Amino acid sequence: MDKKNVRNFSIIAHIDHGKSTLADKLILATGGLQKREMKEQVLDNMELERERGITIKAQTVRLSYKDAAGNPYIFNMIDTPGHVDFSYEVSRSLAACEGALLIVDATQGIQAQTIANLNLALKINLTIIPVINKIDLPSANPEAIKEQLEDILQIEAGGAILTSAKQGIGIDELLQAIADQIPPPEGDSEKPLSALLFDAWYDAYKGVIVLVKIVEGTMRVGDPIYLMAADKTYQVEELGAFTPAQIKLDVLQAGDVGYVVAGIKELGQTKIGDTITNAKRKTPQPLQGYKEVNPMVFSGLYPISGEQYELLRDALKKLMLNDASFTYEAETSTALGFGFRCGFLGLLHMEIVRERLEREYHVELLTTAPTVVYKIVTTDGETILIDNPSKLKDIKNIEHLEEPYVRGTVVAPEEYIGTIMSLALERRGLQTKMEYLNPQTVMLQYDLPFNEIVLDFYDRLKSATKGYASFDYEFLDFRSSSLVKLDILLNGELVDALSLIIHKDKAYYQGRALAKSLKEQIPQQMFEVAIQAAIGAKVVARETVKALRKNVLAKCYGGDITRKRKLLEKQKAGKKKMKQIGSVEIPQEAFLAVLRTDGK
Amino acid sequence: MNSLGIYIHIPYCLHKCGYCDFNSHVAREKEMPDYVSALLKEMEIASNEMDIDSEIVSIFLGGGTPTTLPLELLEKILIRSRQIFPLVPDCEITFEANPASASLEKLSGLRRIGYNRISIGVQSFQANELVTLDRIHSPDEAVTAINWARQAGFDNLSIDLMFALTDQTPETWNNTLNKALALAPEHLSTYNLMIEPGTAFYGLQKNGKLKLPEDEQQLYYFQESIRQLTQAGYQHYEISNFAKPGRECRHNKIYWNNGNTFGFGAGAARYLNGQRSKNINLPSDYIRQIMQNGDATESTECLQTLDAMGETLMLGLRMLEGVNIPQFENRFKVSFHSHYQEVLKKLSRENFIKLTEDRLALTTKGLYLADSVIMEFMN
Ligand SMILES: Nc1nc2c(ncn2[C@@H]2O[C@H](COP(=O)(O)OP(=O)(O)O)[C@@H](O)[C@H]2O)c(=O)[nH]1
Ligand code: SF4
Ligand SMILES: [Mg+2]
Repeated sequence: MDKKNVRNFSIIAHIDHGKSTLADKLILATGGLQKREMKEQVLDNMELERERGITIKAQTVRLSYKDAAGNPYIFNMIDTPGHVDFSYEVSRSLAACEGALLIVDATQGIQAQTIANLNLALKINLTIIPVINKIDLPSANPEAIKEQLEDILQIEAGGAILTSAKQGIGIDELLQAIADQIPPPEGDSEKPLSALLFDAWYDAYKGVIVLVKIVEGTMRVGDPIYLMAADKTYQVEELGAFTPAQIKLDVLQAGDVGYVVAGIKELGQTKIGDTITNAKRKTPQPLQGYKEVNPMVFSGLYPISGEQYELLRDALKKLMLNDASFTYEAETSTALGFGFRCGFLGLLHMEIVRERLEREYHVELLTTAPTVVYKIVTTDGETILIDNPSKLKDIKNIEHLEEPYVRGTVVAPEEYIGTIMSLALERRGLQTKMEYLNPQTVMLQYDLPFNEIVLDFYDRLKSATKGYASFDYEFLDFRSSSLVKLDILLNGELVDALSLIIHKDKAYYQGRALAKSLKEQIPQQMFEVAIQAAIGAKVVARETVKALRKNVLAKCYGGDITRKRKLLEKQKAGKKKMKQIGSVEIPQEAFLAVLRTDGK
Repeated sequence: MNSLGIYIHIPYCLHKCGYCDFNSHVAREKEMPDYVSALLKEMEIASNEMDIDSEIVSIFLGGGTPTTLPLELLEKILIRSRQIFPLVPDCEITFEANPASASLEKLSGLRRIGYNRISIGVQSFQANELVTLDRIHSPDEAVTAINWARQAGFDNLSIDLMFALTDQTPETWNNTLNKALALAPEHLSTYNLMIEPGTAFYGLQKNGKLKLPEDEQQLYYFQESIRQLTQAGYQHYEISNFAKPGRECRHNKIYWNNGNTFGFGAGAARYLNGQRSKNINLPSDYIRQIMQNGDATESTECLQTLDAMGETLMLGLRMLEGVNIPQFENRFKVSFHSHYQEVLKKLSRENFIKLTEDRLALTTKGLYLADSVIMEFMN
């Protein structure tokens, strides 16, 4: 088909504003799937995505559309992940498009993610079609939303499409607007190949499948291709597109979006944002904007029983085939033994990985509290990144420490301004912007230490604002900070897996909170357990779990000894699940104690 | 000679106490004769299969409440036992009695037939505590029952008491202990009230309607019983049991020594030739199955050596004299000291156990934490 009739677009929205539902309706309306084939939210196809109702992996669908005048089009619709953990994937997906549908819930209006995602789209000059969704709801107020779009986001909203994805209202109009307003892709099919790799996943039968947007040139089955950042050469075995059913194609040309199978065995070699060119006729210049995605949140994963170590290692290896954005590396903890330090894009990503390890690979895991990456600048001017607080002790001649900062955007009803400000202040936030979206809604921006928000900032924000506030963030930079290492000692023994790095002004308070939380989670044992929180040699908090002095000693009645033994064996099995540190038994949950200290 | 005990379960009670998770059911007089017939049939089958060189050193009628059975039935059980089992001449023959279902006539009858030991469930001498415990007798009735037992000629008498009750205070526990001592029983058991899942008390506790003393307080009651009863000349020979010299309960010692026992009746457990098994609980099921198949076994397990070792220690360490190490080694063909090296080191360092060449026993500190200590030895 002529490139002039191709439209590449994404749908961007705040979570729950109806992106997946709308995508379903577009597929249905263009006949991509018959009604009886539709499961709700067909694009969310990972089991976990369906359960959690979120989109983790971006999906791309090619739709055939005929407009009212009978002109045929091909629409490549790229669904983007909806969580900030995966924002790099969002921007790469957007880079494959010429336009974006910006969906806003007609009852909720602009939210933090609306702003964040729109900014990503505007940075690369996409044509935006505003879509006001959920107009079927009684409280829908499309006119007010239009005003917001114009006033705050400076988007021409007179022509915003009003839809109800749920009831199928406005879908035809939206399809026509896509054809009319989004520009066709540019690019020259005759030039050397230059294709943007914007998604990849592992398929058990075909190996790695990558999604590409052909920016220039042509790709054919049998072509030798070269992945520029990965510095690897492969041969194209199969080309095609998803409608969403998989169809094979012989060629992909400038402007096209499709998938490539090229005998790639490891997902690690397909880096999102990489440029694919023809190995025999290379493009002189890779596409712009590729950057290595680095995990931002780290946590130790340890098998509960040492026998599962190999199993865990294999599972991590396999999982990596499927998820190149997470990393792992063997580590040893004096407290926990052999395990792995794993890096994630964020907390959600970490939970997803952990759940998959437990669910799909049946590894029983102990997880240590997540930490961000810190930067150490030594007196020699060297910089070292550490992903585990306990590594701090190995580094001599520290000049200063730096911690990662993010720009956080909060959108909330204005009556919560005070609450939000004090929460942000508590978290060492620096306000950089405050703007009214309308007389009732305010947008606040902060520079915040990532460490302060990674665990529970959003939860706290939501509960402080009765669920009304929305939040999103993007990474800024590393900034110098007065950080100290807070250690936990149990009966005098340092438990490395419980150490954390924290701002010095908060160390004392956090030390006390942590000791208290541990006291609640460590059960009474035959010996007294002394819990100490210390900064260097200075003990800042002390708690004691008193020794258990007495059991309730039942009689062995009528000789039913089996029952008594089974009872003890059951208790013993419970004990075995705990980690033994010195003579102290610690339940797994205790290693996440830091998550359970209220506030900070 | 292979010495064995016989346990016979009488699964009836006049009323189900709130804390009770024993196999006890509402007394149905019409069912009792059938129950006893089934019991006798089960006993006969067992006696036919018994090793020739066995002897029975104790019979224990527990429950439930054995005294809910009419005298003739209790008589029948003992007479038949004598006919089919080789009882030693001084065989200990115990039955449990509830003050609410005892009478001078019945106790005299039982003594006459040959029952020679009575264990009376008194629990407390405080009227209010008995009410909260959901018992159906008064302190006076308990005293009367004990007097009747003496009149009937029982010179081997045991009293059960309970501590860690709602409303219990140091004074009331002291008073209960004193009243018990004044009756000069040969044997006393003091049990820690335990809230078992599935009992009425369990529900109450969950709903916050049952408040029990704090752990420290419970420990105090336990220490008080040890102090007062040993001072009064009783030997503290098992966690919860005290006896005048030579009056330890022979039957229970078989359990604690992990010896062989028959178990007859609904829900009864037995241990024979390394195999533990247990009958079905419901009396009517038990009767039907015995009558139809001559067997009402619900579950059986053959112990692996390691389990059997753990069990032997679990039981043996309950006794203050502890476990005889050479016997243990002989039985399981292991070196005790090397097999349990780690645990023994850890526990003696913290003074939970006393270890000599040939005995392992709990210290006083270990006794309070017997379950925790024992758990260290289990698989
Ligand atoms: N009433 C109404 N509900 C909608 C509409 N569109 C989506 N929803 C509902 O909003 C929720 C979030 O939709 P979803 O498509 O998963 O949002 P996403 O997070 O943006 O992908 C779901 O419960 C949908 O059924 C709509 O037009 N009207
Ligand atoms: S008398 Fe004993 S067996 Fe019967 S219900 Fe009460 S506690 Fe249970
Ligand atoms: Mg979705």
